[in-house]
Amino acid sequence: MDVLALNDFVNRAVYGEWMMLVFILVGLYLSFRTGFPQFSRLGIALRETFGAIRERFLSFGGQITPFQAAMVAMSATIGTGHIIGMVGAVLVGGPGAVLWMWVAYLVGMATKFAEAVLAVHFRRQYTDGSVMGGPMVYIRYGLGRRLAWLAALFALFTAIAAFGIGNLSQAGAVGAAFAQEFNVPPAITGLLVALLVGVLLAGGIRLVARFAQVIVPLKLLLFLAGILPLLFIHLGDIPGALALIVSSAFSFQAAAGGAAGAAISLGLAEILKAGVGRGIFANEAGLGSAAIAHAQAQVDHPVRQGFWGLTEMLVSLGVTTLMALTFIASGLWQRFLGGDRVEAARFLFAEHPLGVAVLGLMLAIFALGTMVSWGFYGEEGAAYLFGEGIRWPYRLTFVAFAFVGPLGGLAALTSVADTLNGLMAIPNLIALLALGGLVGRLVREFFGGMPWQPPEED
Amino acid sequence: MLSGNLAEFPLLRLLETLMGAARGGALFIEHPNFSGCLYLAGGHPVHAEAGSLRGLEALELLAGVRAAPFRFESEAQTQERSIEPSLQTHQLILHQFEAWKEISLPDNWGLLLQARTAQGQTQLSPLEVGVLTQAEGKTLAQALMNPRLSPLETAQVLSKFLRLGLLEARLHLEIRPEPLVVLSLYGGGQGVAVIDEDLYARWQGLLGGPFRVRLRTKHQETTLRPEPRINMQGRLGLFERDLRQLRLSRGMPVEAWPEAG
Repeated sequence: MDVLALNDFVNRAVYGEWMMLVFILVGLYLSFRTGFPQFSRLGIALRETFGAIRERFLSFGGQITPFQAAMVAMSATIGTGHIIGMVGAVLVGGPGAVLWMWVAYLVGMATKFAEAVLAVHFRRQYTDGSVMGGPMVYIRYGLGRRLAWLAALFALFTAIAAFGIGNLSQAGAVGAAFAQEFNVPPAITGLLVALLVGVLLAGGIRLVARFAQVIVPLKLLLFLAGILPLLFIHLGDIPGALALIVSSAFSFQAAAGGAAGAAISLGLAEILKAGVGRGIFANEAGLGSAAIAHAQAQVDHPVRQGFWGLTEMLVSLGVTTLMALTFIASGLWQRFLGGDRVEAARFLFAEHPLGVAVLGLMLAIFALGTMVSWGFYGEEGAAYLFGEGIRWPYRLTFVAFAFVGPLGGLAALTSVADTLNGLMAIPNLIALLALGGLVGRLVREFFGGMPWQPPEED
Repeated sequence: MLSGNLAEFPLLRLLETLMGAARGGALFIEHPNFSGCLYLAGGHPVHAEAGSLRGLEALELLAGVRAAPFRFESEAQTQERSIEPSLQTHQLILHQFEAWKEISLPDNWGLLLQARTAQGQTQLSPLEVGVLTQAEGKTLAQALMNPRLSPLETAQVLSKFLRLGLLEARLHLEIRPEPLVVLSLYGGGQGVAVIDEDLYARWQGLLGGPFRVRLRTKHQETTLRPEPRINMQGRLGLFERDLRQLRLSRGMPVEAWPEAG
């Protein structure tokens, strides 16, 4: 078996149905341990996040504010997968996939909550004010010295995966969007993207956070500006779309049509896989990446940052849901069922008063935000493995890849990085399982009015 | 140049030495609450200054200073003459020092005077009422520089009031209210102000012991029991019950400062 065949095998496994089941089970376990915060504490979570939005510039004396940390995480999460990926899920699993995506999101909320809590609880703070945290740190200090190799594995996967999901794929999406919609040569796009990413990463977490707190609201505004006119056009079909999501959640049969022009029959397994897959991988809950950003937030108690994890998932859910509803209501899904997701999305946005250019701009901005946050994640992974000295070499390599991305090629590397991205979940989910009880205790202490006791230095 | 501290070299002895040696020059006294100086010519006091006071009144105040750094500069001279050099003046100075011996005031003249409600009735003369009205809210040094009464008279009345408990001399601290942002805390706690551990240590150090936190909101003022916590910079943690009672919510700005107690 050659390397690429091995990669394909592992890729199928880490994104396969068994792995999805593990994600869901871990999410359910964490929900039980933490008292289902996605339901029981949702009001408090909203008060502590959206309700405290006016405090977005007030940190608790640290590097970045809790709001900024959440924006860095959301900047990475809300990417092209929320648009193209969502369209793809409907084309593969039919409208019923959306229902399972919602279920996966609800379960994943507890996972993201626990990740943010553990990230803050175990983070390391240094005398110069800098902070390092994330799954590699909570694996190392939460599970002990004997499992330090697992932490190193997570850091290694993150450092390499960032070049794929966080760089080549995104830079490629920006390049394609600019070339297709605005006739910008890929080399020029690559140069501009590399320059922007380089400047932002050079500024460290503070600059990355400042960028994120601008780009995320911009992403959301742009998305609303893009999707609301389409939603308005198909407003009358929304109730029908909702009914279809429910009625086709268990099985689905379409008469001759779709991209292949033949009758299509989808069973529960296929619908589940498409929906749950989107509900897991679109929001990165369980992958552990967002925890790297949440660890940077200066808060009085880890559980308070956990609320940002819940809210982050709600926003992500809102974006994917709006996208799915509009697409289903448009009826285009029937025509493209089993077909090309990019083409289907382009057809959808062709109805927009400003044309398909809106989609191009949206994809470019979404991808840019994802790149910068992932650049930071990868850098943190590399710094955990090799120390502070690796930061600049890593940044320069990341910038070089950002230039190459729009030019295309490097498909094999992208594929390997994609596999490593999926593999990040394994060490992280093991740690979440092992530390679920601790998260539950922290939640009880927080709601009991007790102060946070950081773990002893190891 | 002669220098030292009045705590080790009392002013009366210092003056007797300088007068006995018929020295000329200026004796500078650096009291923590005011500056004073006494000019001598041929061993006789000719001019004195103490804060806003001049002449014999200034000398009267200086006579009550028990501890302060001093220095004598024999070359220093002044044209001002606020004290008549005579035998009568010498006697008056001696009388002032004698009178101060009977007075018991705190050594720290920076203490703030605050009127207290005494148990039982106390008959006050118009002079005493005047001193009480004038001294309330002022430091001991400021009260002693009352332009309407001589320092000695004021000191006698203040000494009596402090002994009777009609006045209280408290440490005068310049503590500015700390602007803080409210953070909601969950659980059953009540009457507690959770503040950052560094702020807690700073306030405790300033007051030199246990303290309570006075909180000023838009609607009211209240005092709460302080509790230190980590990572609370710029924040004031309040439990839900207190938030409701004080009509506060997360993110609202408040002012807080410590009070001894």
